[in-house]
Amino acid sequence: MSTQPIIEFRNVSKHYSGVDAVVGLSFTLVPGEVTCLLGENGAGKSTVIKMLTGLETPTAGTVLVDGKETQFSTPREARAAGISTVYQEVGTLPLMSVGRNFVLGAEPLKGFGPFKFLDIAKANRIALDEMRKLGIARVTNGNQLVGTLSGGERQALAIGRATYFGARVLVLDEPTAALGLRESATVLRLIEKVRDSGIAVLFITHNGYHAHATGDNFVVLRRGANVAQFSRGDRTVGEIMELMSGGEELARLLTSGEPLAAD
Amino acid sequence: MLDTSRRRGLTGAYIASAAGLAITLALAGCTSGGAASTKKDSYYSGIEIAYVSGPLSDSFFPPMYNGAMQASEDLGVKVTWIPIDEADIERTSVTTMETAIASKPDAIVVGSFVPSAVDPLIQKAVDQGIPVYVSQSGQSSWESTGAFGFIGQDGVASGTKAGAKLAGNGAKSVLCVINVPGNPYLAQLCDGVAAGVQSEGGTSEVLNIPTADSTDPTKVTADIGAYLKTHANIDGVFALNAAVGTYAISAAESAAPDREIHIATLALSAVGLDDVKSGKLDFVVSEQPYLDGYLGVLFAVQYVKFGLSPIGQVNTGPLFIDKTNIESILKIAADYPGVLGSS
Amino acid sequence: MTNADLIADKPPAVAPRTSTPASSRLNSRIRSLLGRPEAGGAITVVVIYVFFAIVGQEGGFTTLDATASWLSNAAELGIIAIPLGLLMIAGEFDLSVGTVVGATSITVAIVTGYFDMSPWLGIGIAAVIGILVGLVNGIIVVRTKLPSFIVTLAMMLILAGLAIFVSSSITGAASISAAPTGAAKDIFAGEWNGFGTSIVFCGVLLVIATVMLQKTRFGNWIYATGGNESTARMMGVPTARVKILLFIGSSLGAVLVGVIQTLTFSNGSISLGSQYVFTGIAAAVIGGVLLTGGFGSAIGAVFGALTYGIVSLGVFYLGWDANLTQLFIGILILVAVFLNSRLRRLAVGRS
Repeated sequence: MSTQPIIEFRNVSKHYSGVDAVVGLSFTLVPGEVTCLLGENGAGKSTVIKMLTGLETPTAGTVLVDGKETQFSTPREARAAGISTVYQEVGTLPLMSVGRNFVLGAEPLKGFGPFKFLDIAKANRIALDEMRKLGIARVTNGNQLVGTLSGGERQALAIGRATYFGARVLVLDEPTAALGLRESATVLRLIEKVRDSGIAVLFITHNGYHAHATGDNFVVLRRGANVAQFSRGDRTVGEIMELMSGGEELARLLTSGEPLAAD
Repeated sequence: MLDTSRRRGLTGAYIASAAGLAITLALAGCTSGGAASTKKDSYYSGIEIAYVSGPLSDSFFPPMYNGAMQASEDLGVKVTWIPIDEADIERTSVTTMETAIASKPDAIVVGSFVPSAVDPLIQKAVDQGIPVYVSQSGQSSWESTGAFGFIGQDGVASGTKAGAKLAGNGAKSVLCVINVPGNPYLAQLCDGVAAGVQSEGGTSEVLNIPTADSTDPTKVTADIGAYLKTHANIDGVFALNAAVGTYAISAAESAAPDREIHIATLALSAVGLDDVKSGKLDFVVSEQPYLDGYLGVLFAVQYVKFGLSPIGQVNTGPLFIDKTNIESILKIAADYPGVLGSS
Repeated sequence: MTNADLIADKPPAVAPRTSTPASSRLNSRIRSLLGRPEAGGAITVVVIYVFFAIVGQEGGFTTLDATASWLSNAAELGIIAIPLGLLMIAGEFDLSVGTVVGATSITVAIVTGYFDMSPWLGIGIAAVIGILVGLVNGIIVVRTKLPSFIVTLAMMLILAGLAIFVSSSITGAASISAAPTGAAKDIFAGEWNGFGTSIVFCGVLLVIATVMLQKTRFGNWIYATGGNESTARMMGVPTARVKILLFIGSSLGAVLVGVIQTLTFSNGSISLGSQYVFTGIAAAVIGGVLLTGGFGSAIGAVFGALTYGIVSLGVFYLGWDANLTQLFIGILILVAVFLNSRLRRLAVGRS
């Protein structure tokens, strides 16, 4: 099923003084699909995130949003376009409650005129509902502190928050990096749920196993360049791992006729 | 219930709190708060005096404290010393007086450092039936408060005499150093010094040492030294407590070694007396605070028992100590440390 | 076990909630109470009061006079500690509060005592000074990203120097007496049987601060700014505006205390209130405000102020060496902070 991509990178490069962080990268983000951005540290993944979220602008190439050429000059513009990012630190405040965390920056209010008060009951309700939709059943009290939640549950909160407030593209930066096996499984399940609700997910990771488990499309970066791009089922886990770290295997795989980004 | 690690955490908290309280209780038990034990069956036993005055960290007050404690022992009465905090002088002048009143003593002896704030409280104590005797500070307004007397010295008059004496010794431009800025009494002393110096044809200036610096010898010395350097006209310094006098001497030696600077101070110490003997200090002015302490308690006790007291102001100063009487003073200071001044 | 097994669509294993036994419901109720930021402060103030009431009773601690004295003093500290505590929850410090009190004091005293003009004029000028100080503190911290500790320390010295300079230039003195009369005196320096109006001011401030912190959007922003500023900003919280407003609030609290004390003592002094830089922060910390920000409450700051007030004055009624006050307060702060951190761990510990 192919639909109009929300985001398209066309031959995008980012050059810092002396360093080519990203070179000639092209890929698309399609609603309802998980695109995995793979690569070792320093491959250029964080630069791609920065360009997507408006923290950096490309030095060459174009970024298209809904088919229109766009340049984000501030993070706020990216967010307004529906691009939400959940960073590794998850962006939740452990000493605040689940409800308050969920509505931070977009708090529901009740009352009139100068007496507008925080509608905590509503905030808690929304938070618990969205988290339950993502399959988190253990959290039942919106007033409990986020610090009491597991790593996976905090991811659910952050992801639920992003989707509730209208994200069309969800960028997940290494969401499983600090998590154990069980928690990682929770997060991978979350990603699938989000994808199923029609959101385009960009899943950045250096864990080939996790990528292989959830991804629909894969883009492998190595030293800023796209060294492989393929779809679900085209590669085994082992092949993905080798791609990410490169080596003689790389050349062999590249000549087997897979679509590559233009150099 | 709570799982083990959390229970341990909470228990730890209780133990720590209990330990903290226990430590302070033990310390409290070991040190009595300036209240001397009462002699049973003394003529005045049973009488309790609250003495509100300055902190022992200010070198002026230890002799007063010693005097009050000696009186407490000699007379067999309980004396509670309630010191203000010189870094928070207005507020603690009020709270110490409030505490004194609330403790319902037989009489209060108080140094009124901030008369506008303390005098109303003296009136309140008197209205509640607690007689009040004013000691050392508050000489200009005590009569209107209902207190039954004052012991100490007339700050302005003493300052004037000191200023005149310094000018008479040859100082034409005198610096008065205030080490507790905001203390009205010290400001009045410097006003007096100014008047005295001017009467001999000289001029006077004032240096306020920031309160934060005043207990730091290096800072005070540096502050005074800096002033001496930048004001080459200064040839006389008057300090309002013994420690600052010592710092003034160091400052003069390092910042203006070629200038003859006449230095004098209020309140004496063992070092100060040596400096008078050696000539580094022109003279020392003593209010004889030991007498303020001892007689303050004595007068209060006799007023409580008989209703008798000296009428009006009792002067314990100024006593000028210079080269003419230093020898006899030195002997007393050696025999009885802590009486004439701080060691 | 393969990846497929790991993410097979099975719901997590959770024991079905049928009925919870009463004791475990009570447990979780107690636990959530103990986890509140003011829990430590509340426990501490009760323990401390009971201690002094028992040991200090003979010395008169429990009399109405004594209670009026420590309560009025604690209220003044509370007026400083509440807005200062809010600022600390947002992750910043204000070391200039002490000198704002002194500057206010000298301003009011000069206007009222030296120039014989209406105290309201002096109060108005002092308020403007307070707002300016808060504004400058806030803008510098927000623009330069320097630690507020340093910025407000510098402001403290600048203001102290300015106060001495202005005071000496105009009046030649650092301490000026002022005998105000009229409405200003009744409002700020009024008292009823020894209980000062500072208690009323503190109470009102407590209500306003609590409602703002717990019930408004702005309050949520305060917690977020202190909890993790970059996250908060990412979520659209205007952290700069939050901080600047709180700096202004902290200065205005100091102005109010300066006015109250100057009119009460009928005396203005540049050194008035210098202790609040320490005692204000101590009160907030004893009351459960985290030094690292993001956690705390206004009522906690008040509990801390009450505790400090009881200890600093109660010690005289015990007949102890008054120099022990500082020792006791030091130990008390350690114990209170330790208790607070244990209780917080209880709250954040996973169920």
